[in-house]
Amino acid sequence: MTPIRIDNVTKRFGPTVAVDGVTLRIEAGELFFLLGPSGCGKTTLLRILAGFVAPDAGDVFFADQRITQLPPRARDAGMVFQTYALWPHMTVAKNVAFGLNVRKIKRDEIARRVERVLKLVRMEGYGERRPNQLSGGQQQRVALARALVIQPRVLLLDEPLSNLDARLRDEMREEIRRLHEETGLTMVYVTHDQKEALALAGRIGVMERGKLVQVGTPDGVYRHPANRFVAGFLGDSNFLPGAVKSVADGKCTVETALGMLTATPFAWAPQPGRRVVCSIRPHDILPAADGTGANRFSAKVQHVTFLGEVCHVRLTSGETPLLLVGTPQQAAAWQPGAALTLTIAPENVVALPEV
Amino acid sequence: MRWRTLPIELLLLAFLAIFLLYPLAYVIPGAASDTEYEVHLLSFPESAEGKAKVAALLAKAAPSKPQAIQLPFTVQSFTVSRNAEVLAEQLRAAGAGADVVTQRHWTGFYFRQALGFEFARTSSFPFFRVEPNAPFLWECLRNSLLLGFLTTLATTLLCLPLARWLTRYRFPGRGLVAGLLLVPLLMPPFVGGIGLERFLDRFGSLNLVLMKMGLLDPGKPIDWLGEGGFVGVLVMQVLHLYPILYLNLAAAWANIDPTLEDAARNLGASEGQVFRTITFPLLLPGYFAGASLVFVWAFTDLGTPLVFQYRAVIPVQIFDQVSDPQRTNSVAYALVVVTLVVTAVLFYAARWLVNRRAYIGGGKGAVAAAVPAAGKGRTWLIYTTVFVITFLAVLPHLGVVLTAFAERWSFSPLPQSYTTAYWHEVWSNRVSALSIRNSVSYSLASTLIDLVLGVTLAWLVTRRPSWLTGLLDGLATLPLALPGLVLAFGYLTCYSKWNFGPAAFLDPVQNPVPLLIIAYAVRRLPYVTRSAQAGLQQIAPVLEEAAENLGASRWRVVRTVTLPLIAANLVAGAVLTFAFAVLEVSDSLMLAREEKYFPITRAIIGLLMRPDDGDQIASALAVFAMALLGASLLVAGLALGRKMGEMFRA
Repeated sequence: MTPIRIDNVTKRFGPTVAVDGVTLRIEAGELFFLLGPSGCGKTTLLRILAGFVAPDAGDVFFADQRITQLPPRARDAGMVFQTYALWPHMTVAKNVAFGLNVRKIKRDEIARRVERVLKLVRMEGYGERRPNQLSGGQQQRVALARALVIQPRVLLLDEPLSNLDARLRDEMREEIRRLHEETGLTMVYVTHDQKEALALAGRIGVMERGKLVQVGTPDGVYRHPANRFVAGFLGDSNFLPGAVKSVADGKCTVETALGMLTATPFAWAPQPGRRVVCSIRPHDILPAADGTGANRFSAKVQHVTFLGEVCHVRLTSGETPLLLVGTPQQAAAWQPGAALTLTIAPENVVALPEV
Repeated sequence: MRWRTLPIELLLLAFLAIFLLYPLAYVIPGAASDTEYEVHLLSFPESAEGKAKVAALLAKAAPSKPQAIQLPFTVQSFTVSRNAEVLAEQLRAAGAGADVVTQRHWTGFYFRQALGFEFARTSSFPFFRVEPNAPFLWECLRNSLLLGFLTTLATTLLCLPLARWLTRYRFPGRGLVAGLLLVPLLMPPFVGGIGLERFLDRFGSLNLVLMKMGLLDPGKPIDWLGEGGFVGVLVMQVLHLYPILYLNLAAAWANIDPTLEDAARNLGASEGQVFRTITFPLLLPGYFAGASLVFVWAFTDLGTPLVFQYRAVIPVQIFDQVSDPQRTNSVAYALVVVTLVVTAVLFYAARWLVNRRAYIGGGKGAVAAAVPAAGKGRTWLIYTTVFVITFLAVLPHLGVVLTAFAERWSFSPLPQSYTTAYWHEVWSNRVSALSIRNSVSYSLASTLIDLVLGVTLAWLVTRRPSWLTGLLDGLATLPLALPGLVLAFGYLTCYSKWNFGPAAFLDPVQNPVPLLIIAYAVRRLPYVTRSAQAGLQQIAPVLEEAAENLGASRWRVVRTVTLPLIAANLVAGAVLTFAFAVLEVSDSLMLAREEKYFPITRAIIGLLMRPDDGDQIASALAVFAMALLGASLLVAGLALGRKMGEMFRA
């Protein structure tokens, strides 16, 4: 159980700043996600933790040990690579045993531990196979076993599920959750898939262009994003720019294309006159059942897309296009051209600073 | 549709069978058997005078006269067919009926001779002893093997760091450095031998400089070239062959996903452990492919030892045996078979290893992006190493250039005065002027043959894959490793006997030109095939299908779509074929035995043997050859770009 501390770490590649002054504490035993689009610096940060990239500035600590200058082999940080990086010239058992051989552990002890870890990832009986005789999911399990068998201080996962098809991905997601619960390891998991992050994470750190822009629980970053980028990256959202008219007990009134909306700023306090963007999740727009409810407005149905569990409804309110996600039962009654009266709860209208 | 290409495939197979497999197979019976020519007496002459003559001949042939002669009677056995013919002729002249019958006895004797040793049983461990039975050939075999082994070892030690630096680091001028590493390929090693001797002889430049500085006693000059030139041959081969290994290693290294190495580091492996357990095993197929080529080339090189007058190696022994047509050269056959076996085993082992270990590399795209910049220290280390090694590789050839333009050069580190007389002599000297014309015309002809065969073969292999085209491909790549010496020997022995009907034009004793051209073509066929294949693999078959879909015939598709798209590759392959045909040593030495048929390489060796100005004219001719080769490679490099390296991979 090792906490990780990242202190003001910066890494440049030529003119581009891959990691820009990131400071972060990851608690012992936490399953921490680094989330962001490709090129945001999340993988570089992970490779700094693993020791493959040396930061230009800043420090990295495992527990109280400063490891910034330590070579990868001395870090005891198990890593699962995006391409698995299983050695094609070794059997599964040899792949898994490698880290133990390097540590000069006795042969019978190695055999025992390899067997145990293969059982842990549900790959017992595959020891003599070659990696190219395994499916993608099985290779993934072996890669996990290889990193876990050395009993690392932390486990680093670099987009571990991105090479799997959708069904396997769900299965392996549960597998990683189970492994985290059983081992209690501190895990850092890099991904660009927000669904993966929301489903698994203890906490999420969202990165944009080298900067860590928000850290929080999945629920927290989803419902209370710190800026428009985070709001958009974590899921579909309707963005309505506007100006703050008045502020009163944690709520503010914003003049938007939909009219006056009562919105909630989280963790900041806009002044009247400040330009903001209101972020509204598509499933938070509800039909106004009995003519009551805040933030009422009317809109016209343009188009309904049936997606199975849900329906995407394209609306226009005046000139403003909106997306609403509802149940198929709701949408069944809505023909294109139908006029609706809709409402949004004030805590679901998130006022974000306009950059 | 597939069967429509069958006639072409069979024609190609027939060509390769006649000019590749048959001559090689022909060598084996020659090595494993004795041929005796028995003169049989079929009938006695009518006249008494004739009878007396026959009796006299019989008495001479078989002094212990048998009591009763039973016809047909074996008068005498000969090992040389001409002697048997003479006796039979004499008998016929006397009026008797006589015939020559060829008898073949199978024997392992010549193999034992060629290997130079036998296994003798002993009573204690390890229960056998190596017993030399032909001490000189035994020494030759050991020298050749040692030469091959040491060359491979030295090039390995040199190329491992070079390949790693150039694939795993970015640094300014990487393209230029990679280009410099290929320079020795255009430096024919046997030519370099002339220059190296100039510098490293007992009274060569190096010793003279050391004497002048007072570091060396003029009475006891150092023999840098080693006993009889072994070190000289070794140095020339290492300096010439390292690019072959480098290209193979660099290609293999670039194919290893760096995350495989990162994963090992992550699990606690030191750099040494990473190399030993991950990198090298993954590198092994590529390494073995390159190393086996280097070994075979060093093992079978004829030109370099000849220039150094170092005769105690197998190739020179084969050459000497063949030079003397009067001798029964069954030992030469056996020597060739030994060489062939070593070559074939290594070549197909490499192919097998490469195919068996053809792992699918993951994350290729990420590889290029992940290459880190080299630090300042390492960058300079790379520059220095590459510069020094290239300088050393070029140095002998610099010596050749100096020799070519030296008016007087004796007992001084550099020539005392210069002249262009020898350069002009190249064009006026009968031998050298003729050899240039010969070389260019032979090489052009063989290039044309290769273009037709190579493009057809490449097209079949990439577009009509089947077991038959696979077989053709396997056969056609064999010449990459096949020593020219072996092939030429096969041609010489097998087609000398083809003096019947239309096949007689192949007889190398009458006129070696057709066989020389075919030998050049067969040996360089892989270059054209591979460059055409590289081009064809880049053309998506849909481009051809689109033309077919619009109603073009198959031939029209090839002419209007395929050929224009692979033109650059073809130019490169053709130019390489031409250039290396001009520089071909062993085929030329073995097959061209009369001055009027000499190509450049044979003329250079011939001139070197000449006293007085032989060295200088030979050097001037060599400078011309190098210039021709250099210009050709430049053209090929421009046409082919980075793909150039693929030509020299096993």
